[in-house]
Amino acid sequence: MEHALLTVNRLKTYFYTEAGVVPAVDDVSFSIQKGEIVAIVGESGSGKSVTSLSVMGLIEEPGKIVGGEILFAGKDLVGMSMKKMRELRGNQLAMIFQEPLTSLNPVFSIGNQLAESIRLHQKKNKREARKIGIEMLKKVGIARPDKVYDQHPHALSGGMRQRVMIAMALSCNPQLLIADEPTTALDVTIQAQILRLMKDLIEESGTSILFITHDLGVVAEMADQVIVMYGGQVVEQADVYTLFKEPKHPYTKGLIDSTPKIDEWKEELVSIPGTVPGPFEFPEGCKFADRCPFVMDKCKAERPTVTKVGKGHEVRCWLHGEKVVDLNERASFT
Amino acid sequence: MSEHPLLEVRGLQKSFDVTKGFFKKEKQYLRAVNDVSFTVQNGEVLGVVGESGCGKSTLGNLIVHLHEPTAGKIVFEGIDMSALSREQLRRQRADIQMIFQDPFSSLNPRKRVFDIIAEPLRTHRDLNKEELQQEVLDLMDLVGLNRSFLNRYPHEFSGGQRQRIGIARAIALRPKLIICDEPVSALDVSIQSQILNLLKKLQKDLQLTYIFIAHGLPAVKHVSDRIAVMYLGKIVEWTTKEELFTNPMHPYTEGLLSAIPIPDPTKRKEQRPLLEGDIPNPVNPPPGCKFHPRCPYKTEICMQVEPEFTDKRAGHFVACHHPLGAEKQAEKKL
Ligand SMILES: Nc1ncnc2c1ncn2[C@@H]1O[C@H](COP(=O)(O)OP(=O)(O)OP(=O)(O)O)[C@@H](O)[C@H]1O
Ligand SMILES: Nc1ncnc2c1ncn2[C@@H]1O[C@H](COP(=O)(O)OP(=O)(O)OP(=O)(O)O)[C@@H](O)[C@H]1O
Ligand code: SF4
Ligand SMILES: [Mg+2]
Ligand SMILES: [Mg+2]
Repeated sequence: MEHALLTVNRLKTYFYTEAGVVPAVDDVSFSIQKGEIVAIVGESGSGKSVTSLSVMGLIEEPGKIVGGEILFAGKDLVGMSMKKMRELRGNQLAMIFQEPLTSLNPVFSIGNQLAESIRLHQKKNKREARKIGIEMLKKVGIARPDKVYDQHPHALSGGMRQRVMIAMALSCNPQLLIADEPTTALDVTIQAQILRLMKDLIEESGTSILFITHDLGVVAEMADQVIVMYGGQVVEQADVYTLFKEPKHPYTKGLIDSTPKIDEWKEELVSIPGTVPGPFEFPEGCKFADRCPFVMDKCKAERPTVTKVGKGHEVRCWLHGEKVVDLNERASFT
Repeated sequence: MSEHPLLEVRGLQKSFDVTKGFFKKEKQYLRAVNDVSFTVQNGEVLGVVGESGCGKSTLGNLIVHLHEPTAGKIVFEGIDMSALSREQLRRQRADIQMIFQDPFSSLNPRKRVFDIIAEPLRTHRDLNKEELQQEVLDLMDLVGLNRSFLNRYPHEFSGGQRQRIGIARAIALRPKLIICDEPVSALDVSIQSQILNLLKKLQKDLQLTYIFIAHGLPAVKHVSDRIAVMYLGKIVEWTTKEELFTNPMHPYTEGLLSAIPIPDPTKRKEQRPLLEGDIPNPVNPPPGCKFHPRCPYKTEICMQVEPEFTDKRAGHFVACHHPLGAEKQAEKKL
């Protein structure tokens, strides 16, 4: 088998806060193949952003990668020098965020920032950079790109700004694009446009995407592979079709069932009981034990290990031992 | 039973002065709510949806008197609100309550749960200490808050629990109308359905009337009886929720529906038509139908004449020159 583009192996990223140690990423493993879209889904605080920032080498005090490896194109990024990391970030690795305004400089025009990024990666003069920049704005679906090129970020709508960010991220032809909730702040009709744009662009370029979201609808539209996180751990991963058809972790099942479906009419919506615990409130054994309808004694006592339940399908849950349980056949969330 | 609807809104308008600079002679206005009319019956839930900036919150704020209307009137229980005296308004304020999107900023951080929930009771009702305590405890039971939380502060709670506190406070006086402004948008997916179920149950049990505001159709689908779709300050479609989901007549509603990501990878929308373009600048709205620049069905007339908001079929109101499925429905009538 060919080597994966990115392999994250037993990654641990902890935050050493005054209140205590937060195991934000706690033994996380997954890999991304070339040209693949891998989605990380999970609720607030589950460790999605910290996972992606770890890959980008952007973890800052009081955070620290305390274990595991991040193999990118064969090299371990953990412990790589700042200089090398910066080089990588400008070239093979790119990232876009939920709120593009935080990564666009309000003082400079769109063109100014785009040209800078183009000139950093390709040896072009100003005029050539402008031409390429306008071309790129056109490619990400911006009408009147020559006008927008000279505008400042605040003059653009949220959707336009995200398009600009995508143009910038792709201007260096990255092998991996990390997108952290790129459409969460956008309206639903604009989100649909941006999702389609991202798909079209990477189909052309072969870029892999690590796509972070909390919306299972977006996962179903975008992903090839899915990673479900809860409390800093991967509780389940599988290809997108398997995950939706045969979820094996009770949390995944609960998330799927409680996602509103437009063609379903119910007296009462399915919900997961309880609340997501704070960083220091997770139970000792399985982190999901206090919300799980299938909880057993063992779950409360011992943290589950990873079980392989099918081809490329892994789950962190004690329900599946020698025999794999079909959650769809069990009465579960109400 | 009274003759009139609980709430009747006629030709309601709210313009904001957005003139920039001191010396600009020409004033610029933004019509956040532009000639809106509808009725809400007692015990009914009206869902109001539309994308960011379409005027949903302004509409809600007008109804709770947080804004003065620029034109039009709000008739509550048959009485024109602009004709009320101060004392009458004060009393009416107890009848109309509001639940906000952000449970984090809408609760006073220095007050205990008891005082937060008791506040409206202290202002509007004459209860002794024991009665007050009992009333608050009953309310906590009603919204599913543990009684032991009575003396805790808001920051000790998760978003979902804070929203429950906000709900308890809003229903304390058994108001006749509650405006819910995006009450679940800030919550985790697994918690959203808990709160939606709670709101629906309270509405049924206490026979409350809601105006339920949300960005997207999925959030209003469960609780609403009727749905109003807004675009650039106008209601463009208003009908029962069953009718809206099965027979959308406004092209914007159709676009909103088709943009919703479907949580099932076997039903990907790769081929589905998507709405193009952005929402126009509300200070300079397009002439004719405000939706025409994005509308796939537009003709000459749409660019020039603003369509009237009329009943196209037994209480299905639409503002569009070419409502969808109109021929189909004409056939049915024959
Ligand atoms: N700088 C920091 N200092 C302390 N703790 C942190 C820091 N950054 C993240 N954390 C903690 O790490 C955990 C995971 O956070 P992360 O931002 O990865 O969550 P997320 O899944 O991206 O959530 P969201 O959906 O809200 O973006 C949380 O408990 C958070 O409080
Ligand atoms: N006080 C104000 N002064 C000037 N403009 C305002 C004011 N309040 C609202 N607006 C404008 O009025 C329009 C409608 O705003 P409103 O907050 O009602 O929209 P909304 O539908 O609630 O949007 P969102 O979904 O983002 O909450 C927007 O263009 C907004 O910028
Ligand atoms: S391990 Fe046990 S508690 Fe955890 S999710 Fe599985 S069944 Fe539930
Ligand atoms: Mg995050
Ligand atoms: Mg609003």
